[in-house]
Formats: sequence, structure tokens, C-alpha cells
Amino acid sequence: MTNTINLLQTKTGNTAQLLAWEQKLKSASTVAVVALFSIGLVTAGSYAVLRWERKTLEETKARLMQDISRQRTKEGLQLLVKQRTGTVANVLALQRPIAPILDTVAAVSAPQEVQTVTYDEKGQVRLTVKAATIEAAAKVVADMLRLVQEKRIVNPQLVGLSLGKDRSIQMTVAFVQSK
Amino acid sequence: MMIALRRLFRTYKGMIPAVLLLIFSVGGFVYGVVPAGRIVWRLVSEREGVKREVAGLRKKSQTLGGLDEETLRSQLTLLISAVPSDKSIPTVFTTVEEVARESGIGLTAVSVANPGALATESAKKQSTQERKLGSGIVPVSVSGEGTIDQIRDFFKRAVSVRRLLRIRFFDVTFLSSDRAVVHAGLDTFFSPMSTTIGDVQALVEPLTNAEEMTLTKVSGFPAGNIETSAELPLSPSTRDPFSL
Repeated sequence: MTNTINLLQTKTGNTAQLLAWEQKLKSASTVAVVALFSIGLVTAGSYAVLRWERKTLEETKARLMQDISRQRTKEGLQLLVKQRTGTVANVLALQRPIAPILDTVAAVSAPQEVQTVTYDEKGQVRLTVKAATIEAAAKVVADMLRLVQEKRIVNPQLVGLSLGKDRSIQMTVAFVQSK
Repeated sequence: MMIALRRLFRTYKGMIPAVLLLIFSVGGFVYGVVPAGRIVWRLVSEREGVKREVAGLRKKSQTLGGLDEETLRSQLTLLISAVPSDKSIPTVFTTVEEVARESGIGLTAVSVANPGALATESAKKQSTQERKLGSGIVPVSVSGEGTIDQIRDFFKRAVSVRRLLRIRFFDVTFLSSDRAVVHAGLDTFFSPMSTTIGDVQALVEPLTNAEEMTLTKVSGFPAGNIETSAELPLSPSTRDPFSL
């Protein structure tokens, strides 16, 4: 029988629980450290690869820019050609064939009856005709109506009609030449 | 106090390394991995941007490499003969005279409105039509006499010559059943050259089919005896700093 008394507790009451916690913490810390190093390695690797790729791309970009700068004359010419082609195309689209208007005039009246033909900026044609008889004047109107039906002219108008002292009929008609 | 601390240390001493490792790991994540991840993510975004730029530059370089400078110069010369970079009044007169001579009408008057502007072209206010067209307009007034066939031929030729003309209006007065006097208002066109080119990264597109067709059409127009007075200007080589 011992005659000494150990006043210090050698074991705590919750030792088993603490040991379990200790084990859990050890496992968690191991996992955390491994994860930290793994992710750190992957991140560092990615960083290195990306830096290298970026450097390569920057070098390629600089080389291409130098190449393009060497071809600046061609670039300028191409730009001018494209710009001017657009302008020329716009002008060509604006041009209207005028010669067919005179063919239409010839189809409406006999050359000896025509006095003036005007074509204005809005595309309207005005034709002044001096017809010797009423029949000739009526023929002008009939011919215009025929051309409307043939879709060669649109919007025909009788602008003026007067009877001369020599009983001739002066008439002004207007129309728009179909495109 | 010290005794309590010692007791606490003795009780939990098995846990301390694990806790310290956990703290180290959390610190490593917060102060190491997360900022590094952000940097990597930024690098990925930047790489994509640079990749796109490189792809655009490569395409531009290839497009430029496929272009022939001499062909471009001849195309530009052709286009300038159709729409010069200045009013080029001599070519207007030459063209009108040539068209009249070939059609057979006798010119009695040719006049150009505002042949020389006091203001510079950039200071001159453009009309709506000029803005729409992208070119300046020089009105020309023409008077002449001839047969109806000659006048018809004049109108036909006027809109199919190399130096582009447009008949804005005309007034034909018949002198007899065959002869007539014609007074016509024509327009000729000019468009100043650009003096700058875009940013080095601006795309250069090859000519489209429609543009090729325009070139073919213009090259089919007779140039007559008109000399292209305007020398081919220097290609713009200064980059516009405001182009992007």
C-alpha cells in the first residue's frame, strides 16, 4: 500500500472525446495542408504556363504589327480603293439613262409636232406638242395611255391645252419615264 | 493563472499542431491561393483578349500579304479617273467635248458653276445629296445643237464615260422635225482622298463581289483621250489616333 497521494489528476474525464477530436483535427489539418499545397502547385503551374503563353502571344503580336506596318502603303491603297469604290457605286446608282426618254417622246408624237421636251430634276418629262388636228392631239393622248399600259411611263398628265388661231392644238403633257 | 494555462496546454497539447496547421492552411488559402487564383483568372482573360487581337492581326497581315500593290495602284488610278480627288475642271471640259464630238452635236456653250471655291473643301458645307453620295458635286451647264439622233447619242454616251457624269435636267427645243437645240444640266463628281489610315488593328477587308463589279463596270467605260490629270496621290500612311 502506498503512502503517497497524487493530488494531480492523471486523466481528464473527457479523454476519449478529446482523443476523437484530436484525430479529427489531425485529419482535417492534413487534408487542408495537402489541399493547400496541391491547389498552390496547380495555381503556380497555371500562372507559369499563362505567363509563358502571354509572352509568346505578345511576341507574335509585335511581329504581326511590325509586318502590318511594313505593308502600310498597301493598307492605305486598299482603304482608298474601298472608299472610292463605294463613292463610285453611289454615283453609278444615281445615273439614270436619259436617252430612252427621247424614244418615248418619238412613240408619243410625230417629230414634226414636237416643240419642246424638258426633263426636270424630279424626273418628270414635259412634252409640248403642236397638233394640226384634234385627231392628232387625241392620238397623242391615246399613245400615252398605251405607253402607260405597256408600263413604259407612269403618272401621265395633261398639263395644258390651247387652240391656236390657225386651229392647231397646242398641248403640254407630262409623264415620268419608268425605270 | 499560469497553473491554469499549463493545465490547459497539457490537456490540449495533442491538438495544437493540428490547429496550427489548420490556421496555416486557412491563411495560405486566404492570403496565398485566392489572390494567386485571381491573378491567374485575370491572366486567362487577358490571354483571350490578346489571342483575339493576334487573330485579327494575323488575318489582316494575310489579307495584306495577298494584295498586289501594283494592282491596287491601277485600281485606284481607274477610280480616280471616274471620280477625281479634286474638281479637275479640265477633265470635265475634255469629257463633255469628247462626248459631244463623238455624238456629233455642236456645242455652243459649256460652263462650270463655282469652279474654284474660296473656302477649302473641308470648310465648304456639303449638300444633303453630297453627304449621301460621299462626294462633292460640280454642276456643269451644256448647250448644243444637233439632230435628235445626235442628241440621243449624246445623252447615251454622257452616262457611260469614264469621268462619271449625271444628267440632272435637259431642255430640248425643236428647230425643225429633225434638228433641235439642247440645254442640259450635268453633274460631275469629286471626292478628296483620305490622308490617314485606321489603327494598326483595324481590319482590312478584301474587295467584295459588288465592289469588283463596280471596278469592272468603270473599266468598261471609254476613257477617251482624257488623261488622268491627277497623279496618284501618296498612299495615306499616317495612322488616325482617334480611329479606335
